[in-house]
Amino acid sequence: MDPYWVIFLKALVMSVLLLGGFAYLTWLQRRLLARFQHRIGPNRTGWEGLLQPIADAIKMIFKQDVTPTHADKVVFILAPGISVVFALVAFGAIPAGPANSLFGMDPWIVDLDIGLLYVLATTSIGVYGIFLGGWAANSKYSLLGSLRSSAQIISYELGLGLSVLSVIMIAGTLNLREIVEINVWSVSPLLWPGLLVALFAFWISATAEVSNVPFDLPEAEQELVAGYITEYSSLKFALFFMAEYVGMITASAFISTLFLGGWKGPGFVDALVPGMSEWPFVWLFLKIFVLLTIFIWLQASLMRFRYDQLMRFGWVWLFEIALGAALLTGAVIAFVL
Amino acid sequence: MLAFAAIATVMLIGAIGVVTLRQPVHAALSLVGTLLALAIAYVQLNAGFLAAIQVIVYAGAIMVLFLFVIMLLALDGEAPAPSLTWLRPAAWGAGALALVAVLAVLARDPIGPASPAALLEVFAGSGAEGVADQLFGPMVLSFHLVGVLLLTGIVAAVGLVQRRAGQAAEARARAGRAGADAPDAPPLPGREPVEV
Amino acid sequence: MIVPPDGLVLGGIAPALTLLVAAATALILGTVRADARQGGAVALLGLAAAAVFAVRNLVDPGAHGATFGVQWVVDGASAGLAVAILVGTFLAVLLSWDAPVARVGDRPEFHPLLLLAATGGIAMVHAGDFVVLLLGLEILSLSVYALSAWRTGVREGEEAGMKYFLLGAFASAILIYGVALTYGATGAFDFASIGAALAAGAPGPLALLGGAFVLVGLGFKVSFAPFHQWAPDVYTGAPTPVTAFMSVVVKVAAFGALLRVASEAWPATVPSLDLMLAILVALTLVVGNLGALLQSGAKRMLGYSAVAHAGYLGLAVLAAGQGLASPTTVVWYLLAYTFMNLGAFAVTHLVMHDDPQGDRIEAWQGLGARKPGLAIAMTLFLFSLAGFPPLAGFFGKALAVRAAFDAGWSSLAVLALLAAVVAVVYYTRFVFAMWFARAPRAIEVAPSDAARWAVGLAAAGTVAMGLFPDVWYALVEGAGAALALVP
Repeated sequence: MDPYWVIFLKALVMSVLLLGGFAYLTWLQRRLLARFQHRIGPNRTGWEGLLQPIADAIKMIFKQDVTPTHADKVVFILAPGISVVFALVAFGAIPAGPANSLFGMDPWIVDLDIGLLYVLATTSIGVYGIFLGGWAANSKYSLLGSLRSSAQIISYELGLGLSVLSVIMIAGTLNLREIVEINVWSVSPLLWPGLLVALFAFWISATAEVSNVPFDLPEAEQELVAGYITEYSSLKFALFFMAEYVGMITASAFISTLFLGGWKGPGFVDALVPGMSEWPFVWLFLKIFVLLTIFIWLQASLMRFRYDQLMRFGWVWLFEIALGAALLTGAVIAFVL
Repeated sequence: MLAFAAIATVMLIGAIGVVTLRQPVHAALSLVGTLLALAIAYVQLNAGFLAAIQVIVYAGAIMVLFLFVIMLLALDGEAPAPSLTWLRPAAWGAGALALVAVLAVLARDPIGPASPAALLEVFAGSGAEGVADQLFGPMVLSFHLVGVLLLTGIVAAVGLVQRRAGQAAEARARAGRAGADAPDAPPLPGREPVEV
Repeated sequence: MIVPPDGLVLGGIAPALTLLVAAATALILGTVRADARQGGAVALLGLAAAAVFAVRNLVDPGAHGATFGVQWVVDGASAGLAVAILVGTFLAVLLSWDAPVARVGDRPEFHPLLLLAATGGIAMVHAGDFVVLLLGLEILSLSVYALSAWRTGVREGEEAGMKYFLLGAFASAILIYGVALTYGATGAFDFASIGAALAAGAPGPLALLGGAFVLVGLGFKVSFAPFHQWAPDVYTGAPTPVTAFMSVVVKVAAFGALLRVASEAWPATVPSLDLMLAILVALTLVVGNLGALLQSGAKRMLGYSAVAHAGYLGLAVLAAGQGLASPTTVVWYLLAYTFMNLGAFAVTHLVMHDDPQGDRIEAWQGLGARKPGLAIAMTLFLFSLAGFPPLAGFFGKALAVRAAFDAGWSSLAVLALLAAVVAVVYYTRFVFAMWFARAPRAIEVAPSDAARWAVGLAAAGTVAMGLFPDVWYALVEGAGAALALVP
């Protein structure tokens, strides 16, 4: 294990990277969405608009910070902090390469035996930020938005947890590093149907967890103004946004790690450059990038669910599908292999 | 030791907050803080699995439901008319008594800091695998009974929630028996999930 | 790979498994067609099938023993208690066949909940450790909490459900705390190891406190005084078929658990726990009987009478727990109690029409003239509850009192005899009202066929157990044993 100051340094670097990732994810999103809609998007500030996120950040910082009169001040300030902290913390367990590949250090913050549960646990705490933010603002739009979104996130956590079961059963471990090393797809082709369904269910649940389209009810600008962030402004507003985008990045990294081979590259690239599939960071970044692009693609293509559809889909369909995948995988492991 | 002292302080402050804060949401948040601190204490004891479960189950699920209920009831922190005035002093008294008892036990058998080796021994097998070995080995019957218990809870809850539907049906039946033109019974909500 | 644990015998848990299957079937069928009779039919079939397995466990000595480690124990007493639970549930389902409570809005959850409650009860009486006991207790309690608040828009019903739930949850918490303390003192959950650990050395304050908390938690469920206050209120507020069910099934299951804990986990070397139990029993005998004397409604009177009977059962448990009387005494009493108490509540249900305001003695006046069959059955039940020979209740009380004498609790036994004399007064008041008082207004009583069957079967059981007390005793105790009141 690395010395403590190294771990601390790595955590700091990771946070900065994630925050930078958030800023440029907004740029990517705006440019891509513009393309999808036959527009050009922000391209004035810097080359191809690359300085736009920085300009936005400066603007955000200097905006007036309004706290509603009847707001619960402590909780009002606490809520965005909770959101961001737990969104950042969740990333820590995800490995980005083989051991000792980061200048002789490990390319992860912590290597936990229960890494998978750790990610689930920290993301499940993140819901408090949304929940409390909406409540503390003392406004009905905020409260409705926060109730909706926490109900949504809690409901889809079930699908998330159940679809992970297939991976856990095949890998036989909760350690994310070991899950990547085992590579769940290589165990047996008989397990592929269960894994595919689990991947499908997990992806949908993760989309709902990060409130991406078509599950973006928490904000639903047209109906709820902006949901739980209605009363927030300036930096606190930015923090909530940050938490959401970091959540998207974490979700992409988590999907890659569990289902798509994590930091490993496909085997055939080793024929081009020997050892290429073992390169740290590269493959994970690539996978996260592709998954994020798909998230943005969804934003441009799909309509929002109605609230009752969302709940019915979560409880009646996704829950059963994820459960079915777990049962299928379990049955194959128990009776065939 | 220093880390433990810090965590223990957080836990104590949180616990005191739970009972002293007037605003129910603040009290619940205090409890969340206590639970998270407890999870960190578990990590320090090398019981990571327990810590993760603690966070997922208590902080992530149960407390969220608590907050949901508090918010839906819209409790504004004003205490209801005290119907049982003796309860509050009695509760403080009982708490003080418990504190004295704990301190007395501590005074009799002081607990020194445990050696890391001893801690590792105590928490050996408290990881996911150790718990699974217990759950699916000697405790397999209890494991399944917990499943039955959860099923019972769900069936009971659904049955009670359906009462509105039952009331409407009864009203209609009564109207039918009377043979009179009773005002329309409220529409049957059916088996839709209740919208928040 | 799946490795089945060693020594896994499904025969032992077959009754519980059958009930679960029946509950699941009723639930699934209920989503297709919500019809109370369909649920009732599934429940009756499941109960009958489960009874076959339970009787097999009872009569086949080869089926006896512990399975699932030591978590599930099958012996004469536990199998006999399981049979009593199944009989009680069967009669309750028959009673609720056409009852409004099962039909409100045709909610299909009613019968599955009854079956799940019975499953929990069976788990409790078979429990070999505190974990299964607790889980069984919670399964049973959760179902009964919901069932007692099943009626819609009836304030008494909702109050009953709420009261039972809050107090019950509190009692469960105390019980769990007691189990935790006991575990802290002995390092074991299973009764045998706890008993061995306690017998090995002088038990510390931790073990005694744990034992006391367990006693309080279980004492709440069996309605020992002073933890009985919920019983009359909940019995009155709950729908009568549910009251009939819970008054017998909860009592059988909780006494089964208490019997096992007292006889295995609390060794004779720890007399203080027995003393606590004895004090509770004495209080219960006094409070139950005096309380019943003051009631004017049948349901409330039967509620207090249930407390009083808990006193007699406690006597038997006390003696059996010390190993100075056979546990069969408790089992015998509980089956007899199932028949007579359920029968009494069944008739009450038919007379009262589930009217929350109808719980008055006036409702019974002149029943003998209007419905002689029902009145005869009710007379049988009440006389049996009072302990008139040769009905089942007589042998129950006699066995319990004798067990107390055998175990050396003669003062308690005398108190029980005195209480039995008081009991005659409040039971016969209702008998007198039925036969010798004129009705101020005629209340229409039209029992359905199923309810008629329930009353008839309960009456037959009460009489048969009184006339042939040896049969059930020999079944539980083992072949060749005979019931003897005089040594």
